Amino acid sequence: MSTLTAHPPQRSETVTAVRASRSRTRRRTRRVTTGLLAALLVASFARIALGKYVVAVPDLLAVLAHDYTGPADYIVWQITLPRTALGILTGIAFGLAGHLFQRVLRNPLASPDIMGVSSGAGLGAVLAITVGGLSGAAVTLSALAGGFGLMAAVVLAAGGTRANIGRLVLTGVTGGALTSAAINAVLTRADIYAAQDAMQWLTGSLAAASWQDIARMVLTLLVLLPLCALLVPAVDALGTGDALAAGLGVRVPRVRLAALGLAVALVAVAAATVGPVAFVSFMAAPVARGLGGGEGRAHHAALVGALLMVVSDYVAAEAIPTLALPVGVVTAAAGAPVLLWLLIGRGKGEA
Amino acid sequence: MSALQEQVDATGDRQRVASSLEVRGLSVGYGGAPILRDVSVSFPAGRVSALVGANGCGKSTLLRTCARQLTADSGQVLVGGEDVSAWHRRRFARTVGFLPQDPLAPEGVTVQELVSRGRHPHRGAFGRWRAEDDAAVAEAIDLTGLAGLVDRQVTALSGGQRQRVWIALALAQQTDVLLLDEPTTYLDIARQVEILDILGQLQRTRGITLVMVLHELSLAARYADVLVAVKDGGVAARGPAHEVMTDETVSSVFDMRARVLHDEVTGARVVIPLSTGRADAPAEGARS
Repeated sequence: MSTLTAHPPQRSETVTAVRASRSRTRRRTRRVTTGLLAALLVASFARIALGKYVVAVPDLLAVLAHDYTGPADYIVWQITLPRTALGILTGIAFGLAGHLFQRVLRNPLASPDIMGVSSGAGLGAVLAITVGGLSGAAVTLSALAGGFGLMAAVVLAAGGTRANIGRLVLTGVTGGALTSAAINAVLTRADIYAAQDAMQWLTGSLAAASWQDIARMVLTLLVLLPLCALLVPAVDALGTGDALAAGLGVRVPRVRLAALGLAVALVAVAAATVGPVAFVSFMAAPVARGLGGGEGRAHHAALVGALLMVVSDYVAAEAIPTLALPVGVVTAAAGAPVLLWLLIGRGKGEA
Repeated sequence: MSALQEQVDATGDRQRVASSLEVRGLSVGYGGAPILRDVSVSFPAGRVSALVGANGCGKSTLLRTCARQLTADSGQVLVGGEDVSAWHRRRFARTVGFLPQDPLAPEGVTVQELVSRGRHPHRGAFGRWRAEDDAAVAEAIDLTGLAGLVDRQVTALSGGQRQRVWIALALAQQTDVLLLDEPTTYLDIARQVEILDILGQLQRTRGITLVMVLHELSLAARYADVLVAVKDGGVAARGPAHEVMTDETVSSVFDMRARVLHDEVTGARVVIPLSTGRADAPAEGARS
C-alpha cells in the first residue's frame, strides 16, 4: 500500500472534495427540512379546514383575519386551530426528546416513552386526578414531578450518572413496567368517574386543547429549544463512543445527563398537557433518519414528531365518521409496525 | 501548517519539535488492587513508542491514564514537561489525541462527516466551520489515503478502511501527541502493516509524538523507535528494539519461553514462541 502514501493526491483537490461533500450533506439536510415543513403545512391546513365542517380557503383566510362571523369562526378558533397548534408544539417536544434519548443512549429502543418517563408522568397525573381529586395546573405539576422522579430513580438505581448505558436502558424499561403496573393498581381502586377522566388523559388526546395549553407549550419550547441547540454538537460527538468523545474534550457524563434532563422536561410538559401520547417520541427520530438518510438530525426528528401528531389527530378525529378517537390510539397503532421494523432491522444488522 | 509541511518535505528533516510525553510516579487502580504501581517512563518527542506486554499487565491502563481517560491515584502526566492535570479539557484535546480500541461508527455517517468530528476541540459553542477546518480534514484524508471515499458510509467500509477513518479523525484533531490503543487489532497482517506504514509516515512528515499499544511484538519491534515492555503494573524494559527484544526480556515479560531471531536483510527482529511450559506444546527441535 505504499502507493497510497507515496503519491498523495493534490491537497487542493481533496479540500474541494471535502467541501463538496459537506455542502452535499447540507443540501440534503435542507431539502428534508423543506419537505417536512411543506408536509406539516399541508397537514395543518387539512386538519384546520377539512374536518367534518369544511371551511373554504377564502373563508379560512377571513376567519384567521378576524373578518368573518359564523360557524366557521367558532370551529376554527375554538376547535381545529388550537388542536393543530397544540399538536405541532407537543409533537416537537416529543420528537426532540426521543431524538435526544436515542442519541445519548445510542439505542433506538431507548426513547422516553419506552424507558418509562411517560409512565412516570402518567402516574403523577393519575394520582393527582384520582387520589388528589385535582385538575388543571395541579395535574400538570404532578405529571412533571412524576416524569422527573422516575428518571431520577432510574439513574440512581442504575448506579449514578456514570452508569453503563445498557444498564440505564434496562433499568428504565423495568421502571416503566413497574410504573404502568402502579397506574393500573391506582385505577382499579379509584372512583369510577375519576378513573374515566384519568383513562382519557392516559390515552393522550388533543380534544381539550386550549389557548392556555398552547401558551404554556410555547413558553416551554422558547426556554428549552435554545438549550437543545447548544447541546446538539456535543450530543452528536457522543455517537462515536464515550472514550473517543471524552478524547475530543466532551464532558461525557455531564452532556448525557443534561440531554436526558432536557428531554425529560420536554416530554413531561408535553405529556402533562395532552397525555403520554404513545410512541411519538419513539417513532420520530427513526422515521426522520429513514427520510433524511445520514445520521439523523435533531430538527428533523422534531418536525416528524409534529407531523405525526397532526396527521394522527386528523385520522383519529375523521377516519370513522361516527366515532372520534383520541390521538393516542392512532399513534399507538402506527408505532407498533415501526417497533417491529426496528427490531427486525437491528436483528439483521447484528447477525 | 502547510508552510511547515513544505519545509519538512523539502529538507526531509523534522523542523517542528513536538511535545514529549512523560509519566512520573504514576499509580492507578480501579478501587481495588492497583493496576499500575509507581510507574515512571518517558516517550520521546517526535518518535514512535510502542507499549507491549501480556494481557492485563497494565499497558492499556497506562495509555488511558496518559489520555486522561482514567484518573491516577498519585503521580503526574507531563506533556512537554508540563503537568496536564490542571489543563482545561479543550487545551488538552488540542494537544493530545486519543484513539480508543473500540470507537463506534454511527449508522449512516459518511467518512467526511466522521473525520470532521476531529475538529470538535477547535470549535466554540457556536463555532462556525472555517476554511482551516476543511484544510485539516482534507489533510487527514490525504494522509490516510481516503480521498476516494469521502462520501461513503463508514459502516459500509472494510475493517482496514474503517481503521484509517478513525486515524484520520484523530489526525484532523491536529494534536502534538497521539495515543492509540491497539490500532491494528482485528486486522489481517497486510492491513496491520498498512496502518503502521501510515502512522510511520505521519511521524516522519509531521513529527508528532506517537504512543501506541501493540499486541504483535514483531511489528512493534519493526515500527517503534522505543519499546516499553510492561509487566505486572510496572515497566520491565524500555529502549530501542535491539535492546528490549532479547530472549530473556521477551520470555520474562510474557512469561513464556521464546527465541528472538534477527533478520539480516531487513534488520527486523522476529519472536518465535517456544512454550509457556504449562501444556504440551511443541518443544524445541521437535519439528524440523
